[in-house]
Amino acid sequence: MIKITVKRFNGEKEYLESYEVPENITVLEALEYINKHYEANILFRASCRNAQCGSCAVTINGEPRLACETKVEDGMIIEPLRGFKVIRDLIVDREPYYKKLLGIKNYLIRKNYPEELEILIPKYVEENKELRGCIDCLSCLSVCPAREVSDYPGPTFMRQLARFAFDKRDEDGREITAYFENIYNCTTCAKCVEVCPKEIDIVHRAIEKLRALAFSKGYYIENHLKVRENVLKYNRSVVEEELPLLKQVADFYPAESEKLRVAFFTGCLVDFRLQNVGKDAIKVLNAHGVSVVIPKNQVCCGSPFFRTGQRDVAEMLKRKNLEIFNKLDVDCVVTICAGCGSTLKNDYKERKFEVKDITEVLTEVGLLKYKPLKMRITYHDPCHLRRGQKIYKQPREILKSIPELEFIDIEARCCGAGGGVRSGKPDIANLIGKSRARMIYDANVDAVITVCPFCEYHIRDSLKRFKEENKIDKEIDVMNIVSLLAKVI
Amino acid sequence: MKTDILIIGGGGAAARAAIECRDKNVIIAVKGLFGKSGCTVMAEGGYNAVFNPKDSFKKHFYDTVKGGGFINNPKLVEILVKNAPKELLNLERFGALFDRTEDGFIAQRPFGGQSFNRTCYCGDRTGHEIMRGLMEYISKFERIKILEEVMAIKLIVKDNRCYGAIFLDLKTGNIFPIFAKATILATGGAGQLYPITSNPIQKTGDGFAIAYNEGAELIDMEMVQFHPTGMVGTGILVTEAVRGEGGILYNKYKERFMVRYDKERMELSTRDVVARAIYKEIQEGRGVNGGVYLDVSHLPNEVIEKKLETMLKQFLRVGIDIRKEPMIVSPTAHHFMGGLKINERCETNIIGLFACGEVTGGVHGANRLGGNALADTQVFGAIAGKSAKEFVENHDFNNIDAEEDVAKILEEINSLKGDLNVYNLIEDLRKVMWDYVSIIRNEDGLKKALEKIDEIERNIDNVKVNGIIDLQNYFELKNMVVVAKLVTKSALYRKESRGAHYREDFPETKEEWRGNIIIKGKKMWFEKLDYSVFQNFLE
Repeated sequence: MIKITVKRFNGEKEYLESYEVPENITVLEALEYINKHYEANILFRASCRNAQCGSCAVTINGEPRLACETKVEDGMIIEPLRGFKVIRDLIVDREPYYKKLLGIKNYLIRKNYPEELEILIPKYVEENKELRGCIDCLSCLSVCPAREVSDYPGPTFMRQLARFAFDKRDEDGREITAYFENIYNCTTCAKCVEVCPKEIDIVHRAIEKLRALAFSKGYYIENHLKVRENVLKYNRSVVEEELPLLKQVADFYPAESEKLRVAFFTGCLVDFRLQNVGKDAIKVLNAHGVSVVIPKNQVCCGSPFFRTGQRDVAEMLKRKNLEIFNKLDVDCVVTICAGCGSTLKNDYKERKFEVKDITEVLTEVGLLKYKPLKMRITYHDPCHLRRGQKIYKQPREILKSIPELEFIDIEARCCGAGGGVRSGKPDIANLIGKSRARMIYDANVDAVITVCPFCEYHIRDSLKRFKEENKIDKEIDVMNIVSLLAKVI
Repeated sequence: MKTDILIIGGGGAAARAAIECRDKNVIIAVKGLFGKSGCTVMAEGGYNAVFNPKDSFKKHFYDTVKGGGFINNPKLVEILVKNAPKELLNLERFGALFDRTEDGFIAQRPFGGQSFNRTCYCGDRTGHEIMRGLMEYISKFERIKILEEVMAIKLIVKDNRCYGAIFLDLKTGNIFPIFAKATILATGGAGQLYPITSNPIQKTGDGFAIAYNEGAELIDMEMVQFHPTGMVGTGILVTEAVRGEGGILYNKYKERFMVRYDKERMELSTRDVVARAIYKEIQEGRGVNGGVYLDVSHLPNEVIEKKLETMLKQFLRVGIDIRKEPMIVSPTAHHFMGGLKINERCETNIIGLFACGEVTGGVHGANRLGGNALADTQVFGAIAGKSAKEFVENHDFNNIDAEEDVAKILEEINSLKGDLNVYNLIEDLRKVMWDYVSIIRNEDGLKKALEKIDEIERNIDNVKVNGIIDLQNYFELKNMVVVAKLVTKSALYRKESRGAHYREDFPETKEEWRGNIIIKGKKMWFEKLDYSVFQNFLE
């Protein structure tokens, strides 16, 4: 027997109750067991028991999951889905969801329906199939950071709009509806993809494709055009402010005892804004036995344009980078920006080189014996690293290997910097950043470490605003992991 | 609460009926969440319809009645096969999308018991696709209202006319009536009567029971189909498409045992033959962990990943990769062929009460052809809707009230002060049904079952009710007992084996038993069916 805790709500009072249940059963079976053996009358939803209907989604240990396909574990806490009004126990109010579906015209819109069977090529049917697999369990709505702070309705509504937009039978301007339903509030953090029991890739198949369609129809955010101008002028998404890193460094930095040879993909912010981070990265890589080749004519990876629907610019940048990096004689291309790494890995399908985040490279060649550093720190998982590249263990492994460094782990949560939201919808980005800043201050740390320049910038700004708004004395530093490592090698 | 048409149920038949009534005031009252608590959303195999010019209605008809042991209502089967293609086109108009061949026509695949590849599909989640299309289309119509998480516990019937139903609100515990000029039952089957079932939690046979309690005629209640292949342990339905794509059955000695039971069709034999085959292998000691092997690992990975996508994922989630290792499967309660007796307009013998989908009997006879259930929901859902819509043009409410009925129910609930655990009674009932009234039946077992069911029924008055869930279980158990008796009595009455009904004490199919067993109240009778009624369509 193991012990689990269920959050109860009787319409007025909310409380926690713990129960003993058998091991090796699902959460759904456990709830049934509790009602049978403890006369608890816990209200919960369920139907098919096979992850096909989506009725039984609840929050389990802080994450939305289907009760029917999650095994119980000792100490598990089961709560209703977050972000919804609770009716009783584990039952939430789905009426607002239904109303919103009506609001986006949740049906095929067509003037004339054919009398006979419609001839459709199979490729078209296949392409749309993933979007149609939703079982509307509402898990994605319960974890969307943009939905939490704004009028953005949430991921499943964008998926449904995409389902119609890319159904050639539909005749409505779904991408325009998406635009006015605040699709540009989405940070593309991919938390919705992570929690989706049907593994629907809403970010790539719905958000990015709808934005591309909206952009082509003239529905875009003005500031995203400024980013476009920047890249057309400077090959960078931001304006040059100081001497770029690529003009300050040499072409090649050999390691003393070379274990690996990598090409350094700097990304826009490191090149144009955070030159010291770039230099620290080179220093740290060399110290670990990694030689660094630096192609000077590299350009923006295109991430801001893939994310915001400007695929023409994105593809142009991709071709330039492929031409450069495909020819290099290196073991892999290393990134220190989560967005660059995710884009190179996921959007550069034609590449002939391997792409690795710097934390992958360091853990693979072997960590050093680092100097002690007496600090209390936490780590911020960039969304495009944790979910875009499935990298979250490596940074923690590195941080935990530094002597005397006190590591406080906090829940992974979007900071608001991604998906073009910081440039296009700064008020939304700031609201999400505020939530993240509160989490970081609550952890009572000296510094927050991350592996993304965009997150670094946004969290620094968010912490500063949070400090001022709440009249806090304590200052929390924000550092790239390579800047921390540069202190201890 | 008043409406023109009350539809009880939340699956494909209920949705299709509602669409047909969309210019009237409609309430869809669902026991769970709409589109999630029926069987339609879970159906994976496909939808049978004649599209290929080399196929024909005659062939589809013949396959259906042959699979149905020649006791189907031939008029209903004729309606089914002739309307199935039209209703599939309607589904695509509503928003559903079926897989296509390379030249853009509807793709169709083989299914057990069929002489032609006529099963249309959407990967292996056809029911989900159908349900999404229906739900999306329904959302266009303001006059269709959906009430979720309410359980119908009594029909309101006066002078043999139905005026709606009394409901238990499963979120609040309130008892309340909904009055309607016409009522459509689309409540599905009663798979939850058995311990291993593919059916959702809600399928406790409520529609059968509340209609029977008011004098409705039920037909073929002994005909319960066990899907031959459900996953042992979890009850996950292993779709017939797995065998359709080339899956092979083995026992623990790795014998391909279907050669003993149907050496011509092997794994593509009809469901009843496959179910009995597996059951016998298990009962006679040649099973593995309570099941047998079903293996697709010899198929190309691409076939498994595309055509059996749902199966692959479901088994991966429990640690089994069907690309590399076999599944362990066992017969699983799946479909009730029996149900409310209807005519060609989906009318029952109670005026103003219509029925469609799995809650009806007569369409599938003694066994249902794989792929016909989805077609049934659409064809007869449309007909029930049309008939109800016509009915309300000429009928009104007649000053009906349900205060006395509601008061009786509240009094009944207040008098429940016993100490028995209702869960235990439900488990006892399921065990009785599995041991004596499932795949292999005999007179002694069936009589013993009736004794045990009576004993359980006597204990219902002594259950303990502390909250809404206990109350729901109480009403479900009452319904399950009613249905259990109907199934068992019908099975006892039919002294032959036919279709899904197998009597080991009467193993042959007998011409004298070609026909239907009908139950109404305490009366039960047999209506003979001559083969000639089928010849009209076949010639």
